[in-house]
Amino acid sequence: MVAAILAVAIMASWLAPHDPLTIDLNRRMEGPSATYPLGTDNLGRCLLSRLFYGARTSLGAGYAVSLVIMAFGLGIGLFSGLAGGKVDAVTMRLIDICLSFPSLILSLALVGILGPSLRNAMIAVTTVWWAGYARLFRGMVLTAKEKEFVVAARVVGARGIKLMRYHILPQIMPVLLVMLPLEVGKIILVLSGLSFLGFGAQAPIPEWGAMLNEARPFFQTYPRLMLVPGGAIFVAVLGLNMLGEGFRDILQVKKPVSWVS
Amino acid sequence: MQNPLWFLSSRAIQLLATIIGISLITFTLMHLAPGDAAEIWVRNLHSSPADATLQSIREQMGLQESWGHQYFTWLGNAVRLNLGVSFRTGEPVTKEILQRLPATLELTAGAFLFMVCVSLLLGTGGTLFSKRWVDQAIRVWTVAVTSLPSYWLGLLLIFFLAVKLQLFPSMGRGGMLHLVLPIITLGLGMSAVYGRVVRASMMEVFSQDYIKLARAKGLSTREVLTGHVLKNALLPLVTLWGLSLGHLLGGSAIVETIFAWPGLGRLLVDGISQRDYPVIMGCVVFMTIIFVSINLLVDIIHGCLDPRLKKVSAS
Repeated sequence: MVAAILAVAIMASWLAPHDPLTIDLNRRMEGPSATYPLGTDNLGRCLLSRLFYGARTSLGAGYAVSLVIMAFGLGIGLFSGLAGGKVDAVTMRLIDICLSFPSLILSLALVGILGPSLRNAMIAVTTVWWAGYARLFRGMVLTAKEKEFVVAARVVGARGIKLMRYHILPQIMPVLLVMLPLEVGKIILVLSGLSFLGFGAQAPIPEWGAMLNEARPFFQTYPRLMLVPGGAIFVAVLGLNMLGEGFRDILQVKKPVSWVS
Repeated sequence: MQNPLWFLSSRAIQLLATIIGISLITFTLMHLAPGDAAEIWVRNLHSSPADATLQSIREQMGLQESWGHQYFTWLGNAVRLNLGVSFRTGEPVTKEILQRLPATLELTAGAFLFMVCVSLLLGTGGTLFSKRWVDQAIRVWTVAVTSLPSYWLGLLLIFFLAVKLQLFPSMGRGGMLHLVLPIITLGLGMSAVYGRVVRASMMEVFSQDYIKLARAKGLSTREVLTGHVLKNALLPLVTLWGLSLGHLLGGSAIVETIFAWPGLGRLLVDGISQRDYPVIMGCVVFMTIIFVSINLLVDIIHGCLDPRLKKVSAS
């Protein structure tokens, strides 16, 4: 069940090159299938192709941003947790300040100021969302630090940075693994949301959120335009969520309640 | 443990620092933004600018001053609740914000209530029927709903319920009926997430010994629930719910856009698409103040409610 949907999520970006990027085909306005399995959109572009290429955009951006965020958050969290003392306190203050802003609002404002484009949206989201992860990872590092075997290792002379990686990271790994697909899903939703509002990918770049936005004026007469990209987002995120849930079941991880940031 | 007064004042200072911080950041960003404010202003008034006019407008707007000077001017005005004038409409920003505020509050409050009720329902259901199909069904439902993009949900709801079935109005703000769809859109996703949390929290409380004692005493399930479980499970929940208000604020931007709801979120979005910097600044600062204040309130409530803390301060 999990695997099947995951396959869909990944396959989409591979299937994309199969379909010609026949955008700008002003041939037909709207019309259902035959040559065009999903019909065409309001500018006569093949909906299916746009869907597949949109997968590349939406999913790619989502993965990229979340990887950066989590890596950064992990790095800072590790650093802060391991360093302890003053460094930790100062870093946490900084993170708290970053976290006191409503994330979506701030990223909206950032994009608004930088100018609407996919790249700016990605930058905005990255800048705003990393702090939550940093705090979470730091918390986990602190908990991990207190475990007996870590203390024992330190007593024996395990050098701060390098050997901690072998003791602390393995403890964090399960949670990290569970979080990854879930957070990617969340970021995909956020990025498409920004695009939906018009602040992410701009026309004619196919991106699922933007496609939804373009479908808005037509949704009464041609609901297909709205159902398809939205459905795509849903399925992709669903696949990711199920993957994360699957991991959680396998690894028996308890959901860290405090991460709802 | 800390003296509550000390706690309050230190948090208040933190609040102030955050507000100043964010206004600084926002202001700097806007300053760095491409586009000359004077030009934008003039273009929005549908005239094409002559250089001399531009220059005088710039001077009027104080754009010739240094960054620091501009910021402090803005800050001074802001403290006096003057957030500038919208580029687009020429109305004072403060007025626009206050006009929209009730709408957003209505929406957010409604969605919050919805979320609380539904998540309580789901969580309790999951706890009581755990290991049976109800629990599994709820779990599946939760995963599905959290994968839904809220804007898609909104559009779907409009399509099926408002257009096809003509059950609810699809746009704008009006009576109770107008509220239904937006509230569901905004609240559903979060209610699923919190349903899980409620369930987890309740399960944890359930497994405590004093619950078994209550059962042994002969209390019915319902009495156990309301008397013991709820009270103890509620504490972390209240904290989380309070924090979720921030999320709701953000989500309101999207929902308001879909449903043509005249609220703050939409003001912000419109302001951004029109590059109406005073509005953007004003909205962001205002919303952040609300967000931070709510967080502070939540912390205080948490501090009050936690019986462990109560005991300490009583001694």
